[in-house]
Amino acid sequence: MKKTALIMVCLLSMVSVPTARTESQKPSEPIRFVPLHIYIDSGQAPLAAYQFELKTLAGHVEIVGVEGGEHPAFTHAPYYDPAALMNNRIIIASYSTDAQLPTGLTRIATLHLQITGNIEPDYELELTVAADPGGRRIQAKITYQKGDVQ
Amino acid sequence: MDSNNDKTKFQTSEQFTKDLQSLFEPKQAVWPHVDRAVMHAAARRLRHRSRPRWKQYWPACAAAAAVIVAGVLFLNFNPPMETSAPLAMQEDINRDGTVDILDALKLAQQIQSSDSLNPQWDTNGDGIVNQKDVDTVAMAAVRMKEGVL
Repeated sequence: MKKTALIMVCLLSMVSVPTARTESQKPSEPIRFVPLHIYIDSGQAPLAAYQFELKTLAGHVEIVGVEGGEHPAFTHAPYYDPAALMNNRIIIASYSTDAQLPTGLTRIATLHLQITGNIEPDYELELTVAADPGGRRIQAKITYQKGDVQ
Repeated sequence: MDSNNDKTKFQTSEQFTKDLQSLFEPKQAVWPHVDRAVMHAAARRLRHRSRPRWKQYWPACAAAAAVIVAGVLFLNFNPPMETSAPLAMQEDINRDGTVDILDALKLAQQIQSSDSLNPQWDTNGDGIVNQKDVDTVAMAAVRMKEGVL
């Protein structure tokens, strides 16, 4: 019976070791925190809702926080999938039913990123949808601006 | 002491030799076929004893290992359940075929204006159409459907 138990333990350890493996972080790599400001320019149209997707193309980046924008209609934190915070891809969306809505260029959100290593990350932004208060899609342009390193 | 001396030393009388033979000779001879059978049975028994014990439990060990491996694989690689089609359609408030933030906007506006609320908009199934349903729709819009990178 001892040999049977030994075989069982060996099998369990063989199976569990690869699944329990986690990506270890090199202690020597520097870590810095950088805000990434997201802007939408909706022109003359009032912006009532937006949804975009952000991908990091290079570097080791983790999204550690998401906060709202500058206009009172969008100061509340937008919707996002918390499961995406530890990864380099995230969908962010928000809406407002306020009477006063932003037009032109406005900061809609700020993402707080943790960057590990010396590689300067590159980002890809895709505006999925922007809409006016009637729910109609509007032409808008999305851009980002890197903030100061904290 | 040479060999001749040994011979002379152990020379015994004929009577004494007969007495010794009668004393130590086997009383009854073992037949050769009986002897072979006994030796064969003993060898077979010893061979059975020397078989490693774990070999006796090998089928049980293999079955247990298979069950463990299958269980671990199931727990680790079972893909997440996809959102069911009826639920996805339920969250598509504006009926444009996709669930995005525009569905949340429309539902929020409907709730705010207190217009007639469609019971089908009760996306979280609590029996009331309110802000929680808007949040459910918005969260469905931002959920990472294709898996995170």
